Amino acid sequence: MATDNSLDMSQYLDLFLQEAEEQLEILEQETLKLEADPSQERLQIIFRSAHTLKGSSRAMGFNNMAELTHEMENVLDQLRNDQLQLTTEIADALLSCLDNLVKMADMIRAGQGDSVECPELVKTLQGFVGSEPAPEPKTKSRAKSKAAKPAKDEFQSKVPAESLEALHEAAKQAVVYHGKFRLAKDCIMKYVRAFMVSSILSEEGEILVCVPEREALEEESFELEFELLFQTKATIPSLESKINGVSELDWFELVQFAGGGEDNLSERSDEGAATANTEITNSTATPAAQAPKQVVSGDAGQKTPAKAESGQTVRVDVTRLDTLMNLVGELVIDRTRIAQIGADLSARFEDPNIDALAETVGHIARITSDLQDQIMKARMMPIETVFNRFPRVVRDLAQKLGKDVKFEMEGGDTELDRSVIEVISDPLLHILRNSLDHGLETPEERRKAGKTDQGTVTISAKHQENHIVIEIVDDGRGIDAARIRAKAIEKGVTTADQAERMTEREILQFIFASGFSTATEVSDVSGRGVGMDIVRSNLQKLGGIVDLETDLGKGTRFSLRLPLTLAIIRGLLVKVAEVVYVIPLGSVIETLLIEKSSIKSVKQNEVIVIRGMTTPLVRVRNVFTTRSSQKEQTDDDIYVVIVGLAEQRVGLVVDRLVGEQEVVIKSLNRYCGDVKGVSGATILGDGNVALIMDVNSLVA
Amino acid sequence: MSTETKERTEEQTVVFVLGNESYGIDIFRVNEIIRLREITPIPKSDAHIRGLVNLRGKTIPVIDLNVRLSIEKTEETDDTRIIVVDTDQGNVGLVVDSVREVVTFKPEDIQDAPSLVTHLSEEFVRGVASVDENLITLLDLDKALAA
Repeated sequence: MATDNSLDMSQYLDLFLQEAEEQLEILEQETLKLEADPSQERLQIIFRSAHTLKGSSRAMGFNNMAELTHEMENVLDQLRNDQLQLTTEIADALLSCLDNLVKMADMIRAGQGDSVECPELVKTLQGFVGSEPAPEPKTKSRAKSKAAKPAKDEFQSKVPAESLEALHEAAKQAVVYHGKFRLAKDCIMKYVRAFMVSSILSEEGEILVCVPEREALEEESFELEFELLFQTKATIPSLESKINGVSELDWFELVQFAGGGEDNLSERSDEGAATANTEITNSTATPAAQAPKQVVSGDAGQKTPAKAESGQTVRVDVTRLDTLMNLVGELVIDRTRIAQIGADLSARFEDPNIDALAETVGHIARITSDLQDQIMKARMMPIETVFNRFPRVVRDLAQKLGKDVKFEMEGGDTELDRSVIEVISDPLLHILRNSLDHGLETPEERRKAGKTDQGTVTISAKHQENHIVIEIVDDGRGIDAARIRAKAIEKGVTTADQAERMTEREILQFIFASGFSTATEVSDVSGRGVGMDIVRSNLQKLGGIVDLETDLGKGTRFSLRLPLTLAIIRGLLVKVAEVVYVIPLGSVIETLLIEKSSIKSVKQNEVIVIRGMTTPLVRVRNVFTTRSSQKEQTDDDIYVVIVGLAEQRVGLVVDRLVGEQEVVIKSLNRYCGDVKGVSGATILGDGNVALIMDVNSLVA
Repeated sequence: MSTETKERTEEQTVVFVLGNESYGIDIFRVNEIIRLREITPIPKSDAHIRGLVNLRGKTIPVIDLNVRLSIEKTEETDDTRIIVVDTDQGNVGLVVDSVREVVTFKPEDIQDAPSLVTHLSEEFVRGVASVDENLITLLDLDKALAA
């Protein structure tokens, strides 16, 4: 028996984790908003999420999680019944619950069970409930949540009027089925079985009504029978065979209940209700005010907020999108080949079929590029996914630093490729922390400066041409260029002489120098001088640019410019020692054809002078000494590609310019080791592999 | 149960030629065998890494087994092949002079290598199998590919 259970559980583990993830996301977002706006509606949403988690974790046997969510639920219940006022402590405790739940979910995912124990937190939560003054808290909450304990009452509980209304609505759209289930007498885990049945049904459709209610099912305070009203896209026989797979189910029956276009539900519901223990007929008499709101859509899925969208979106494994992208890449390569073959043929023969071939190739070309666009779009994600974790960080940090911060986010729906999403989170976090720690003043300081107590930090994202621009703006004290200048001289980053000649803008760039921090005290938030330099180098690796503007006493604006995708870039194809390399076009400033005589030597380094600027030269051939021919080029004309990173300019000497092309970036196999000067590989139109130059490491 | 052990006792190996000797690798590690195609060199990588090839849209590294096993290099011919094998780091290609056949042998056909193989670093070799009077040096793929 035990093995049988564990087998079934593993089947449902994925489902459980997926659901937990969804609910945790909702919890996080709503709990954060709760402090600013503790509305009933929000409490209701949070309560429901905690409740769903409790139910499913209990069903899966994750008792620590079930216990924690149970205590959360108690506190939330009192909050929404106005028996408890929301305080910062409570909000903190709820957030810490969330952290623990996330930890548990992670451990469960890692196969270690929910072995996170948090007795203090549970005690804290119990403390909130205990300190509550009302003498009989449970009665009231029970009336509202209908979590009535006596099993018998619960089984007789009614389908609320709202549900029935929704049932009417639903029945207009599609057929409603009525399923009756009876569990085996010796069934040990009744709720698990009920949960499995409802999972099967909600997988293939939607459960409308559950009798007894979900809560009662969870608490296993029901006899052996339960009933579900549901809609489905699947056929009844297929559902029957699936439900047959659930063990410890003694008997079940699926019959048509109502619906299918005709508005005859009222009659039929009476009929149906008559057979279904008359609960539904009774329900019409139930006052709507007492009815729980979520019975209708609530069951295993409980995707309350996303319900309307569930039909239009699908979850797709990221690796599948990557595979699709690769396949399209191959298609593009083959298309180029076919076009080449077609051109060869038409040069040699004259045949109407060859013309037709050219036409078809043209059509295929259009389709493949559309296909590529569409898949690129499918890989796009709103930047929200990154932004959403910031409010929490800002809140905690502001509290720790004793600052009053209003945090605003704009343009969260701006989309960019997931490869970029994955890597920008940390740099953004660094800048945000900096703004809070160094940028914003404490409320006292702000008052002295004649500002409002509350500082504002805004993070925004928008599209600009083929880039995304992210800005982090604060209205704090700004950056004092004079202090930076002094610090730079003190740290020996520059000499007093040089510093004197620099513009304010150049001085500010020192912020991104490594080991540079102007904070007088080192806090555990920032101020160790690592951070901004890492931010910049990480962004440069992505082909991004970070810049800042500051207005002393008024605030600072950091702006990041990033390519929309890292998967496909435009590249300049160059040839060095008979091998084609790709230089990311984003870092190419210009290409030049110079005469050998114009190369000068400064301290044994080759340089050229372009429009008065001395630019060092790097002979790519020398950097990439391969085992192939090393014959030095003897031509008088030399091709130079000027690449730039921030303010730096370097000229790369190449043998020949080949062209410009969009390339799909593929990472180097780990087997090749870490190759200096190469950031990845790509496949060219002729099917050959070309390496992508890492301009960053060539310049440095 | 009995069939499983029976299968285990017999081993199948893909036989290929390097220089003028026959070598073998476990057939279960071989993904496919492709013709030699354009290999893009990787600057400043280890000598035995020939470069990258395009395998249906994937870029896979290609190892020169001649260099890796310190065998005298031979000319590339029409018979030169790339054997694509599975490793824990994904697919890797091995350039060999030619691919001959697949042979089946029993464990008792395998003899210890060192006495017979002199020029080959013994750590890469699992043993030598004699099949139909031919000697096949069995490579330990993981050791041969380890950096």
